[in-house]
Amino acid sequence: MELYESDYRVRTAIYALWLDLGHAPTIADLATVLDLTESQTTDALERLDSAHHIFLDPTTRNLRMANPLSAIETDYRVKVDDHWLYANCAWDTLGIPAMTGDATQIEAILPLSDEIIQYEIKSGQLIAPHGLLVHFSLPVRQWYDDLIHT
Amino acid sequence: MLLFRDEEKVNEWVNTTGEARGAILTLQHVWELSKLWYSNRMSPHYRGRTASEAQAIFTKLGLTDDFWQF
Repeated sequence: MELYESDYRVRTAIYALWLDLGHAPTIADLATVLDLTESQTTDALERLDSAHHIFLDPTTRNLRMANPLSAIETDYRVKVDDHWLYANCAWDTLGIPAMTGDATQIEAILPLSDEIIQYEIKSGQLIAPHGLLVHFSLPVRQWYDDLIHT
Repeated sequence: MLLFRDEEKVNEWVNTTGEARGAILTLQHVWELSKLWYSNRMSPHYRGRTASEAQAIFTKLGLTDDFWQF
C-alpha cells in the first residue's frame, strides 16, 4: 500500500508520544498532536499497519505494536526515563535502547521458571549476566505471517 | 524471541512447548543486531527497509544460513 508523507508524520508522532507518555498513544492523542481529525488519523494508522510500520490490534484496531514497543504488558520491560515500557520480545528489549540511544535498565521474565533477569545498556555497552541466549523460533521469511506469535 | 539462561533451558522449553527449535544468538549478538536494526527507527526520515537491506544487516552480523533468508 502506498504511504503518504503525512503517514510518516503520524508514524514519527507515534514513537515520540509513546516515549513521552510511557504507553501507546490513542487515536485521539495522535489526532490532537498532529492537528488531524480522528478519521484522518485512523486512515493513516491503517495504511501504516498494511505497510508493516506498526501493528494494530486485530479486534480493536488500537495500536498493539510499534516495534520494538508493545502496547500490552509482556515479560520484557525497559526503563526509559521515568517510564517502564514493554517490549515485544527479548530482542526488542535491546531495540528500545538502540532506538533511543539512552541508557536503560531491562527486566525479563524467563520462560518456564519465571525467574526475573536484569541487564542494562550503559554507555552503549551491554551489561548482562554471562551466557544469556535469545531463541528465534521462526525463520525470517515467516516473521510477518503472525506478528503476535513471532 | 525469548530469553534463556543457556542452551539446556532452550531445549527444555522446546520439549515442553512443542515449539520449533530455531536460531539461538547470544544476547551480545542480539545487541549488535539491535543497533543496526533499530537505531534509525525514530527518525522522521525512516521509510522502512527492503528485504535486501534487511538481508544485508543479517549478513554483516554473520547470519547467513537459510533461517535468516527472506
